[in-house]
Amino acid sequence: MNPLYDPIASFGTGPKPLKLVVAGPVGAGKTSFVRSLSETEVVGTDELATEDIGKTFTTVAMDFGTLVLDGQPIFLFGTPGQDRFDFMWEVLCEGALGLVLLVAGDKPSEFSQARRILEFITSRISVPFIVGVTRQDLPKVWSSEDVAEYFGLPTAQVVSLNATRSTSSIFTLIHLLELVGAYQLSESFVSSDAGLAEPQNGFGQQ
Amino acid sequence: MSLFGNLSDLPFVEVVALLSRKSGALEISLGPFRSHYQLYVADGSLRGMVRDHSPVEDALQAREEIVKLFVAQSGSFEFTKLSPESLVGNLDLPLQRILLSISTMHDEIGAFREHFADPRTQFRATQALEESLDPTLSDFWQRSHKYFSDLPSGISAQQLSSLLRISLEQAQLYLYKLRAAGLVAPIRAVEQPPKNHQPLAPSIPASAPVAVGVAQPSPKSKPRSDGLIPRLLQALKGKIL
Repeated sequence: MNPLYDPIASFGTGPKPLKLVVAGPVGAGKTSFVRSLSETEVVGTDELATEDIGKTFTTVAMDFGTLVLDGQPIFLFGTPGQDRFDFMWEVLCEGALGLVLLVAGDKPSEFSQARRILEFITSRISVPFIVGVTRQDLPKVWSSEDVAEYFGLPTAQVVSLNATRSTSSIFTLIHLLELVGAYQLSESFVSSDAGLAEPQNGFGQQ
Repeated sequence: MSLFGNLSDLPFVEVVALLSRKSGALEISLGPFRSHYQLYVADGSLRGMVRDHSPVEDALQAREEIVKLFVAQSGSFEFTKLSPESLVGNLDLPLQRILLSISTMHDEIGAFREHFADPRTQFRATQALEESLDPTLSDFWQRSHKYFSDLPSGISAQQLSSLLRISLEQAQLYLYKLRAAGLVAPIRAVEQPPKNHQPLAPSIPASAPVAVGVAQPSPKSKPRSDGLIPRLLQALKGKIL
């Protein structure tokens, strides 16, 4: 990646960017999800994993991608999955328009950590969310209905996806936005200020 | 004849077994700068407890102190016989049963630790208690129920541990069990969306890999004036068409 490229500065003085957060345990597909949606090169912080987490590289700070929809910039933040980065979950979710929590459908051993992350965030921060069950291309995988039951959520709040396919990720985003719209319609969630709470680094001015 | 020794030679569990048919005061000193206890027992029941000259006020706290004695590696003890009539206290806890439940609790914490909610996750009560709980959980529920019900933001294991003066893992285990019993659930800072809400844009094809739940807006709801979300949805859907 060009070291001089600054994806944030490239948005200049357009509409205030909205923020979407992607969380979940290690290996759930967060980086793939952000990559499959981002229209700019994803700023990643992959490093060699220092412990056995089932893959060679892992995200140690966050992934950052961008998307523009009808002139509206959307910043995509993928959080690191390890528990020791839990301080970042709250920071990233503050003021976010929505949260996608991903969990690998073929790894039930990770479900309790995923539930811990989701409940920690959603019990403290008012953010609409959906749970995405990834790796649906594999033959043996949990269905979204079963995962919904485990998380104690309505089935409508859990979707299945393949995070490596952009169409699948777009459908997931559509689902989240429909949910955000439903919250706004019901007036149970006031999100006109959702997005990046304060302009930072010179961007975000209307 | 006096009964005395050190917990390093005779663990607390065994001392309690020896006292099952005796009445009197058991003094335990865990060491310099550590707690000093007086346990008043009669007919196998704990009738009262004093820790560092302050009486232990309720069953939940007494259990917490017994946990500390249960895991103590050392500490001198001495038992003095007293007549059962003189041992009228504020507690009536069957000691051996408590030790059994503590032993179980330790096993449970080991087994379920990975599944505990984050200590900072806020919980709320979901329903009134209809069935009886086991005594330990019941004590916890009685002492903590008001916090679940009275605080709009709910309460976390971390807060309960501090308020009830019990260990954090114990609070997490109780929350885990109460949740399994359907009595508490994590708070959602944002309410669940209305059931059967209407889609804001043309719905996703049935073959799409998502489960869409959509619904009627509540009668008092009104659409947002800026139309931002419908615009974003429209643009997103344009990307797949």
